[in-house]
Amino acid sequence: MWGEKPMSNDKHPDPLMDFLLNWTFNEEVIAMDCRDCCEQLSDLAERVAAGENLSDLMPQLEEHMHHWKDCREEFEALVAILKAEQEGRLSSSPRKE
Amino acid sequence: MYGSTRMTDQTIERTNDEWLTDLRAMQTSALSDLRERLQRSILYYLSQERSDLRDLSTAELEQMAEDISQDALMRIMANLETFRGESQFTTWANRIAVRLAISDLRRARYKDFSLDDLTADGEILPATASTTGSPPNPETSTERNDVMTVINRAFEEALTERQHRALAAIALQGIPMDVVAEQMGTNRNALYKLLHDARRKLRAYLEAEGLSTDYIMTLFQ
Repeated sequence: MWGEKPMSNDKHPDPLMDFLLNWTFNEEVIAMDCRDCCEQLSDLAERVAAGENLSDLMPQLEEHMHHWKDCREEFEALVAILKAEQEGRLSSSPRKE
Repeated sequence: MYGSTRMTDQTIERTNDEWLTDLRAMQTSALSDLRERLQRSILYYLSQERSDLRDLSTAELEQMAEDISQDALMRIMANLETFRGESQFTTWANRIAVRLAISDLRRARYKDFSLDDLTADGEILPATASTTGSPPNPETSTERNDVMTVINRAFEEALTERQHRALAAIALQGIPMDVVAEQMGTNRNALYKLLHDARRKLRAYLEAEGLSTDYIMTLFQ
């Protein structure tokens, strides 16, 4: 039977099968709007950049990002920038002459 | 190029309230400081985190970072009152800038992509799915083909045209949602819902055909 199968972190090699078999049926997870919760994501990104795990902080968001690579890409980019900033790896001046 | 000088050496550190006060007052130094911070963040992202841009020169990356930062600054100023202080102001601002950068890069990468071309010939699904492990025996191979035939039929019979197109582009081809949303005249939220409904319809169709998740999963492993 088609059950409410828990999300698998193992992606099927075929995107169609992955979509059919592995994606969650939790509508709240699927329809979570990364764009509308911008500020919450900013806070989460700060905490992840500081070493916390997103799966502990907000498992539903992590699951959402497992399915939607666009959201994941944007979140990971922000975390990377915050980490670089913390570690002093940002350029002192991008247009330095 | 990327020294270890901290941005605090270059710009004034402000609290969230100070940022808001100074920016609401359109204080030149605050605008300049914020733009510079955004520019550094975006330049870092473009130059260090994007392997697809490695062929661009430093000058080109700097120009991109400058343009994106300018656009981001305008967007931040237009949305200043939506900031609720739940994160550092600069993190909130960086998020807006990085989202803008990624959106611009996606649009540039897929500027020649056409959803119409993708679905024009009606052949969206592969005849067989990719699998792991050793090649299947003839019986398994036949079973897989049969299941793919049912899945193809489910696509044709269970989905609307829009669901069909969105699913083909996003779930199967990996086209970014922003690109697909723009071409379909919709937004990311609506696409989430569209694909969710499409998947539910597909699975209901397959279930009605007697194809269970476990069976398909085992067959295509």
